[in-house]
Amino acid sequence: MYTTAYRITGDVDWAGEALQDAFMQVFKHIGSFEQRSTLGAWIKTIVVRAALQKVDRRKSSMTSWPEEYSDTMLDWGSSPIDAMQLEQAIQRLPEGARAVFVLAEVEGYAHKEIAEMLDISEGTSKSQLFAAKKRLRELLSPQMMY
Amino acid sequence: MEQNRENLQQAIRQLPEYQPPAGLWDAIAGELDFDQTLEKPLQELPVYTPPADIWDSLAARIEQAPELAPEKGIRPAYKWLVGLMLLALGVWVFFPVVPPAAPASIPTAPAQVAEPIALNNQPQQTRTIQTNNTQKKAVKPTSQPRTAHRTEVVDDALIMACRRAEDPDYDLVETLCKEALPVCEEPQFKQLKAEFDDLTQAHTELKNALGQYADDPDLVSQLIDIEHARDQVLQQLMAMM
Repeated sequence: MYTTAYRITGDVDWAGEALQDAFMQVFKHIGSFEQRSTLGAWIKTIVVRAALQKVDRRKSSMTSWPEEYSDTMLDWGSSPIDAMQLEQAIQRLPEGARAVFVLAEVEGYAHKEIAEMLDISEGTSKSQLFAAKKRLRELLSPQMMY
Repeated sequence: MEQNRENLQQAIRQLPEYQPPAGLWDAIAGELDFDQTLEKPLQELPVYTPPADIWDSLAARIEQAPELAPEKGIRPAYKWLVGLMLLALGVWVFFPVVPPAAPASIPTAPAQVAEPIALNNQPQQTRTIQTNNTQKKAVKPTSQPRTAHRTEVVDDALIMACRRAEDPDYDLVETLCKEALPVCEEPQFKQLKAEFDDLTQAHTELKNALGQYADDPDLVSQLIDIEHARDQVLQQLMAMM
Protein backbone atom coordinates (compact mmCIF):
# COMPACT_ATOMS: atom_id res chain seq x y z
CA MET A 1 0.00 0.00 0.00
CA TYR A 2 2.70 2.41 1.01
CA THR A 3 4.76 1.53 -2.06
CA THR A 4 1.82 2.29 -4.32
CA ALA A 5 1.22 5.59 -2.58
CA TYR A 6 4.89 6.44 -2.87
CA ARG A 7 5.05 5.64 -6.60
CA ILE A 8 1.98 7.75 -7.32
CA THR A 9 3.03 10.74 -5.25
CA GLY A 10 6.78 10.37 -5.76
CA ASP A 11 7.33 11.75 -2.28
CA VAL A 12 7.93 9.94 1.01
CA ASP A 13 6.05 12.45 3.15
CA TRP A 14 3.13 12.71 0.77
CA ALA A 15 2.96 8.93 0.59
CA GLY A 16 2.81 8.71 4.39
CA GLU A 17 0.09 11.31 4.60
CA ALA A 18 -1.86 9.59 1.83
CA LEU A 19 -1.66 6.28 3.69
CA GLN A 20 -2.77 7.95 6.89
CA ASP A 21 -5.70 9.66 5.17
CA ALA A 22 -6.64 6.45 3.43
CA PHE A 23 -6.80 4.37 6.59
CA MET A 24 -8.82 7.02 8.33
CA GLN A 25 -11.28 6.74 5.48
CA VAL A 26 -11.21 2.96 5.69
CA PHE A 27 -12.08 2.91 9.38
CA LYS A 28 -14.74 5.56 9.03
CA HIS A 29 -16.45 3.94 6.07
CA ILE A 30 -15.86 0.27 6.76
CA GLY A 31 -19.62 -0.06 7.13
CA SER A 32 -20.15 0.93 3.50
CA PHE A 33 -17.86 -1.81 2.19
CA GLU A 34 -20.19 -3.74 -0.09
CA GLN A 35 -17.96 -6.75 -0.69
CA ARG A 36 -17.95 -6.22 -4.43
CA SER A 37 -14.21 -6.86 -4.24
CA THR A 38 -11.85 -8.17 -1.61
CA LEU A 39 -11.24 -6.00 1.41
CA GLY A 40 -7.62 -5.61 0.34
CA ALA A 41 -8.60 -4.38 -3.12
CA TRP A 42 -11.10 -1.97 -1.58
CA ILE A 43 -8.48 -0.55 0.77
CA LYS A 44 -5.97 -0.30 -2.05
CA THR A 45 -8.42 1.73 -4.12
CA ILE A 46 -8.85 4.12 -1.22
CA VAL A 47 -5.07 4.40 -0.84
CA VAL A 48 -4.69 5.13 -4.55
CA ARG A 49 -7.38 7.80 -4.40
CA ALA A 50 -5.76 9.37 -1.34
CA ALA A 51 -2.39 9.41 -3.13
CA LEU A 52 -3.97 10.93 -6.23
CA GLN A 53 -5.53 13.65 -4.09
CA LYS A 54 -2.05 14.51 -2.82
CA VAL A 55 -0.83 14.79 -6.39
CA ASP A 56 -3.77 16.95 -7.35
CA ARG A 57 -3.09 19.30 -4.46
CA ARG A 58 0.45 19.90 -5.60
CA LYS A 59 -0.10 20.20 -9.29
CA SER A 60 -2.43 18.68 -11.78
CA SER A 61 -0.27 17.71 -14.68
CA MET A 62 -2.78 15.49 -16.36
CA THR A 63 -3.46 18.06 -19.04
CA SER A 64 0.09 19.38 -19.18
CA TRP A 65 1.16 16.57 -21.40
CA PRO A 66 -1.72 15.99 -23.78
CA GLU A 67 0.08 13.64 -26.06
CA GLU A 68 -2.25 11.68 -28.26
CA TYR A 69 -2.04 7.93 -28.48
CA SER A 70 -0.22 6.86 -31.63
CA ASP A 71 0.74 3.67 -33.30
CA THR A 72 4.42 4.35 -32.80
CA MET A 73 6.21 1.09 -32.07
CA LEU A 74 7.70 0.87 -28.58
CA ASP A 75 10.68 -1.43 -28.15
CA TRP A 76 11.92 -2.23 -24.65
CA GLY A 77 15.18 -3.68 -25.94
CA SER A 78 16.58 -7.15 -26.04
CA SER A 79 18.32 -7.05 -22.68
CA PRO A 80 16.74 -7.00 -19.24
CA ILE A 81 15.83 -3.64 -17.74
CA ASP A 82 17.36 -2.79 -14.41
CA ALA A 83 14.55 -2.38 -11.84
CA MET A 84 16.23 0.45 -9.96
CA GLN A 85 16.80 2.37 -13.17
CA LEU A 86 13.15 1.84 -14.06
CA GLU A 87 12.16 3.07 -10.62
CA GLN A 88 14.17 6.22 -11.04
CA ALA A 89 12.73 6.75 -14.50
CA ILE A 90 9.19 6.34 -13.19
CA GLN A 91 9.87 9.03 -10.62
CA ARG A 92 10.97 11.38 -13.37
CA LEU A 93 7.66 11.08 -15.21
CA PRO A 94 5.14 13.90 -15.03
CA GLU A 95 2.74 13.27 -12.16
CA GLY A 96 -0.34 12.54 -14.24
CA ALA A 97 1.43 10.16 -16.59
CA ARG A 98 3.24 8.55 -13.67
CA ALA A 99 -0.03 7.89 -11.89
CA VAL A 100 -1.54 6.29 -14.97
CA PHE A 101 1.57 4.18 -15.63
CA VAL A 102 1.73 2.97 -12.01
CA LEU A 103 -1.97 2.16 -11.94
CA ALA A 104 -2.02 0.44 -15.33
CA GLU A 105 1.30 -1.38 -15.53
CA VAL A 106 2.34 -1.85 -11.91
CA GLU A 107 -1.00 -2.19 -10.14
CA GLY A 108 -2.89 -3.77 -13.04
CA TYR A 109 -5.93 -1.52 -13.15
CA ALA A 110 -7.95 -1.33 -16.38
CA HIS A 111 -8.26 1.95 -18.22
CA LYS A 112 -11.92 2.15 -17.23
CA GLU A 113 -11.02 1.91 -13.54
CA ILE A 114 -8.21 4.41 -13.93
CA ALA A 115 -10.51 6.81 -15.74
CA GLU A 116 -12.99 6.61 -12.84
CA MET A 117 -10.34 7.07 -10.20
CA LEU A 118 -8.67 10.01 -11.92
CA ASP A 119 -11.92 11.45 -13.23
CA ILE A 120 -10.65 11.43 -16.80
CA SER A 121 -11.79 9.67 -19.94
CA GLU A 122 -10.52 6.27 -20.92
CA GLY A 123 -8.94 7.85 -23.99
CA THR A 124 -6.98 10.23 -21.83
CA SER A 125 -5.88 7.33 -19.67
CA LYS A 126 -4.62 5.46 -22.73
CA SER A 127 -2.82 8.48 -24.16
CA GLN A 128 -1.22 9.25 -20.80
CA LEU A 129 -0.02 5.67 -20.54
CA PHE A 130 1.44 5.78 -24.03
CA ALA A 131 3.17 9.07 -23.24
CA ALA A 132 4.55 7.61 -20.02
CA LYS A 133 5.96 4.57 -21.80
CA LYS A 134 7.45 6.67 -24.54
CA ARG A 135 9.14 8.87 -21.98
CA LEU A 136 10.36 5.87 -20.01
CA ARG A 137 11.86 4.36 -23.11
CA GLU A 138 13.74 7.59 -23.69
CA LEU A 139 14.94 7.71 -20.10
CA LEU A 140 16.04 4.10 -20.19
CA SER A 141 17.52 4.22 -23.70
CA PRO A 142 21.18 4.57 -22.65
CA GLN A 143 21.08 1.18 -21.01
CA MET A 144 18.89 -0.49 -23.56
CA MET A 145 20.43 -2.71 -26.18
CA TYR A 146 18.58 -3.16 -29.39
CA MET B 1 2.58 -2.31 -30.44
CA GLU B 2 5.36 -3.09 -28.01
CA GLN B 3 8.39 -5.20 -28.66
CA ASN B 4 10.24 -6.97 -25.85
CA ARG B 5 7.44 -6.08 -23.45
CA GLU B 6 8.47 -8.95 -21.23
CA ASN B 7 11.60 -6.99 -20.30
CA LEU B 8 9.46 -4.15 -18.98
CA GLN B 9 7.22 -6.57 -17.11
CA GLN B 10 10.20 -8.35 -15.62
CA ALA B 11 11.63 -5.06 -14.37
CA ILE B 12 8.25 -4.03 -12.94
CA ARG B 13 8.10 -7.30 -10.97
CA GLN B 14 11.50 -6.49 -9.54
CA LEU B 15 10.63 -2.98 -8.46
CA PRO B 16 11.53 -2.40 -4.82
CA GLU B 17 9.01 -2.36 -2.02
CA TYR B 18 9.01 0.51 0.46
CA GLN B 19 8.07 0.54 4.10
CA PRO B 20 6.20 3.42 5.64
CA PRO B 21 8.13 5.54 8.12
CA ALA B 22 8.20 4.36 11.71
CA GLY B 23 5.35 5.69 13.76
CA LEU B 24 2.91 6.01 10.87
CA TRP B 25 0.64 3.28 12.19
CA ASP B 26 0.81 4.74 15.68
CA ALA B 27 -0.21 8.08 14.20
CA ILE B 28 -3.15 6.46 12.44
CA ALA B 29 -4.20 4.64 15.60
CA GLY B 30 -3.82 7.86 17.55
CA GLU B 31 -6.16 9.70 15.25
CA LEU B 32 -8.77 7.00 15.41
CA ASP B 33 -11.23 6.84 18.24
CA PHE B 34 -11.91 3.17 17.84
CA ASP B 35 -14.95 3.10 20.08
CA GLN B 36 -16.61 5.91 18.19
CA THR B 37 -15.43 4.69 14.81
CA LEU B 38 -16.69 1.18 15.31
CA GLU B 39 -19.93 2.09 17.02
CA LYS B 40 -21.97 2.59 13.85
CA PRO B 41 -20.51 -0.31 11.84
CA LEU B 42 -21.04 -2.64 14.78
CA GLN B 43 -24.68 -1.65 14.93
CA GLU B 44 -25.03 -2.29 11.23
CA LEU B 45 -23.46 -5.72 11.25
CA PRO B 46 -25.72 -8.12 9.39
CA VAL B 47 -27.71 -10.74 11.25
CA TYR B 48 -27.66 -14.23 9.83
CA THR B 49 -30.20 -16.96 10.38
CA PRO B 50 -29.21 -20.60 10.47
CA PRO B 51 -30.28 -22.96 7.69
CA ALA B 52 -33.79 -24.30 8.06
CA ASP B 53 -32.70 -27.89 8.57
CA ILE B 54 -30.26 -27.15 11.40
CA TRP B 55 -32.91 -27.58 14.10
CA ASP B 56 -33.95 -30.96 12.76
CA SER B 57 -30.31 -31.97 12.68
CA LEU B 58 -29.80 -30.71 16.22
CA ALA B 59 -32.87 -32.58 17.46
CA ALA B 60 -31.61 -35.78 15.85
CA ARG B 61 -28.20 -35.39 17.46
CA ILE B 62 -29.75 -34.78 20.87
CA GLU B 63 -31.84 -37.91 20.52
CA GLN B 64 -28.73 -39.91 19.69
CA ALA B 65 -26.73 -38.54 22.61
CA PRO B 66 -27.47 -40.63 25.73
CA GLU B 67 -25.99 -38.02 28.05
CA LEU B 68 -28.58 -35.54 26.81
CA ALA B 69 -31.55 -37.84 27.32
CA PRO B 70 -34.16 -36.42 29.72
CA GLU B 71 -33.78 -37.56 33.32
CA LYS B 72 -36.27 -40.00 34.66
CA GLY B 73 -38.11 -38.92 37.77
CA ILE B 74 -38.06 -35.51 39.35
CA ARG B 75 -35.43 -33.00 38.35
CA PRO B 76 -33.16 -32.13 41.28
CA ALA B 77 -34.01 -28.45 40.97
CA TYR B 78 -37.61 -29.18 41.86
CA LYS B 79 -36.98 -31.76 44.53
CA TRP B 80 -36.90 -29.14 47.25
CA LEU B 81 -40.18 -27.70 46.08
CA VAL B 82 -41.85 -31.10 46.08
CA GLY B 83 -40.44 -31.72 49.55
CA LEU B 84 -41.89 -28.48 50.81
CA MET B 85 -45.24 -29.27 49.30
CA LEU B 86 -45.27 -32.66 51.00
CA LEU B 87 -44.23 -31.06 54.28
CA ALA B 88 -46.98 -28.49 53.99
CA LEU B 89 -49.49 -31.21 53.19
CA GLY B 90 -48.33 -33.20 56.21
CA VAL B 91 -48.72 -30.20 58.48
CA TRP B 92 -52.17 -29.60 57.08
CA VAL B 93 -53.22 -33.21 57.62
CA PHE B 94 -51.92 -33.61 61.13
CA PHE B 95 -52.44 -30.05 62.33
CA PRO B 96 -55.55 -28.83 60.57
CA VAL B 97 -55.76 -25.09 60.55
CA VAL B 98 -59.02 -23.58 61.61
CA PRO B 99 -59.45 -20.47 59.50
CA PRO B 100 -60.06 -17.41 61.62
CA ALA B 101 -63.23 -15.44 61.07
CA ALA B 102 -62.59 -12.83 58.44
CA PRO B 103 -62.80 -9.25 59.69
CA ALA B 104 -65.80 -7.31 58.51
CA SER B 105 -63.64 -4.94 56.54
CA ILE B 106 -62.08 -7.72 54.50
CA PRO B 107 -64.17 -8.82 51.55
CA THR B 108 -64.51 -12.44 50.57
CA ALA B 109 -61.53 -13.33 48.46
CA PRO B 110 -62.56 -14.07 44.87
CA ALA B 111 -59.96 -16.80 44.68
CA GLN B 112 -61.92 -18.81 47.15
CA VAL B 113 -64.83 -19.07 44.76
CA ALA B 114 -64.43 -21.40 41.87
CA GLU B 115 -65.85 -20.83 38.43
CA PRO B 116 -69.45 -21.86 37.89
CA ILE B 117 -69.82 -25.46 36.90
CA ALA B 118 -72.42 -26.31 34.30
CA LEU B 119 -74.75 -29.19 35.07
CA ASN B 120 -76.52 -30.55 32.06
CA ASN B 121 -78.93 -33.38 31.53
CA GLN B 122 -79.74 -33.82 35.19
CA PRO B 123 -82.61 -36.12 36.19
CA GLN B 124 -85.90 -34.33 35.82
CA GLN B 125 -87.00 -34.02 39.37
CA THR B 126 -87.24 -31.32 41.85
CA ARG B 127 -84.14 -31.11 43.95
CA THR B 128 -82.21 -28.66 45.95
CA ILE B 129 -78.74 -27.50 45.17
CA GLN B 130 -76.68 -26.14 47.97
CA THR B 131 -74.57 -23.19 46.89
CA ASN B 132 -71.79 -21.68 48.84
CA ASN B 133 -72.99 -23.54 51.96
CA THR B 134 -75.59 -20.87 52.54
CA GLN B 135 -78.02 -20.62 49.66
CA LYS B 136 -80.56 -23.17 48.59
CA LYS B 137 -82.31 -23.07 45.28
CA ALA B 138 -85.27 -25.10 44.18
CA VAL B 139 -84.93 -26.52 40.72
CA LYS B 140 -88.13 -27.26 38.82
CA PRO B 141 -88.23 -30.12 36.41
CA THR B 142 -88.35 -29.13 32.80
CA SER B 143 -88.59 -31.02 29.58
CA GLN B 144 -85.66 -29.18 28.05
CA PRO B 145 -82.06 -29.74 29.01
CA ARG B 146 -81.30 -27.41 31.88
CA THR B 147 -78.28 -25.45 32.74
CA ALA B 148 -77.68 -24.79 36.38
CA HIS B 149 -74.63 -23.71 38.29
CA ARG B 150 -73.21 -24.06 41.68
CA THR B 151 -70.23 -22.67 43.49
CA GLU B 152 -67.65 -24.66 45.33
CA VAL B 153 -65.94 -23.43 48.40
CA VAL B 154 -62.21 -23.89 48.41
CA ASP B 155 -60.83 -24.98 51.73
CA ASP B 156 -58.87 -22.20 53.43
CA ALA B 157 -56.46 -24.78 54.75
CA LEU B 158 -55.56 -25.73 51.21
CA ILE B 159 -54.87 -22.10 50.39
CA MET B 160 -52.72 -21.84 53.48
CA ALA B 161 -50.83 -24.95 52.43
CA CYS B 162 -50.20 -23.48 49.00
CA ARG B 163 -49.17 -20.20 50.49
CA ARG B 164 -46.73 -21.95 52.77
CA ALA B 165 -45.19 -23.62 49.78
CA GLU B 166 -44.46 -20.12 48.53
CA ASP B 167 -42.98 -19.12 51.87
CA PRO B 168 -40.69 -21.97 52.90
CA ASP B 169 -39.00 -19.76 55.48
CA TYR B 170 -42.29 -18.99 57.15
CA ASP B 171 -43.16 -22.66 57.10
CA LEU B 172 -39.92 -23.32 58.92
CA VAL B 173 -40.80 -20.67 61.49
CA GLU B 174 -44.14 -22.29 62.13
CA THR B 175 -42.67 -25.76 62.31
CA LEU B 176 -40.05 -24.69 64.80
CA CYS B 177 -42.59 -22.82 66.90
CA LYS B 178 -44.66 -25.98 67.08
CA GLU B 179 -41.69 -27.53 68.81
CA ALA B 180 -42.17 -24.94 71.58
CA LEU B 181 -39.14 -22.88 70.83
CA PRO B 182 -38.79 -20.29 73.65
CA VAL B 183 -38.33 -17.43 71.24
CA CYS B 184 -41.80 -18.00 69.84
CA GLU B 185 -43.30 -16.91 73.14
CA GLU B 186 -41.49 -13.61 73.21
CA PRO B 187 -43.81 -10.62 72.73
CA GLN B 188 -41.66 -9.13 70.01
CA PHE B 189 -41.69 -12.39 68.09
CA LYS B 190 -45.43 -12.70 68.44
CA GLN B 191 -45.89 -9.15 67.29
CA LEU B 192 -43.72 -9.76 64.22
CA LYS B 193 -45.57 -12.95 63.44
CA ALA B 194 -48.92 -11.18 63.69
CA GLU B 195 -47.57 -8.45 61.47
CA PHE B 196 -46.45 -11.05 58.95
CA ASP B 197 -49.91 -12.65 58.99
CA ASP B 198 -51.54 -9.27 58.41
CA LEU B 199 -49.22 -8.53 55.54
CA THR B 200 -49.86 -11.95 54.05
CA GLN B 201 -53.59 -11.39 54.31
CA ALA B 202 -53.25 -7.99 52.64
CA HIS B 203 -51.04 -9.52 49.99
CA THR B 204 -53.63 -12.16 49.19
CA GLU B 205 -56.46 -9.66 49.04
CA LEU B 206 -54.53 -7.30 46.82
CA LYS B 207 -53.50 -10.13 44.54
CA ASN B 208 -57.10 -11.20 44.22
CA ALA B 209 -58.15 -7.63 43.51
CA LEU B 210 -55.53 -7.39 40.78
CA GLY B 211 -57.02 -10.33 38.99
CA GLN B 212 -55.34 -12.45 36.37
CA TYR B 213 -53.82 -9.70 34.28
CA ALA B 214 -52.51 -7.36 36.97
CA ASP B 215 -52.89 -4.33 34.79
CA ASP B 216 -53.38 -1.71 37.47
CA PRO B 217 -50.00 -0.03 38.05
CA ASP B 218 -51.00 1.41 41.43
CA LEU B 219 -52.11 -1.94 42.80
CA VAL B 220 -49.04 -3.64 41.41
CA SER B 221 -46.87 -1.05 43.13
CA GLN B 222 -48.71 -1.64 46.41
CA LEU B 223 -48.30 -5.39 45.96
CA ILE B 224 -44.57 -5.00 45.55
CA ASP B 225 -44.39 -2.80 48.65
CA ILE B 226 -46.27 -5.40 50.66
CA GLU B 227 -43.99 -8.16 49.39
CA HIS B 228 -40.94 -6.18 50.45
CA ALA B 229 -42.44 -5.55 53.87
CA ARG B 230 -43.24 -9.26 54.24
CA ASP B 231 -39.72 -10.20 53.31
CA GLN B 232 -38.31 -7.82 55.87
CA VAL B 233 -40.56 -9.10 58.64
CA LEU B 234 -39.75 -12.67 57.71
CA GLN B 235 -36.06 -11.91 57.83
CA GLN B 236 -36.49 -10.45 61.31
CA LEU B 237 -38.37 -13.56 62.41
CA MET B 238 -35.64 -15.78 61.05
CA ALA B 239 -32.98 -13.64 62.69
CA MET B 240 -34.67 -13.96 66.06
CA MET B 241 -34.75 -17.74 65.71
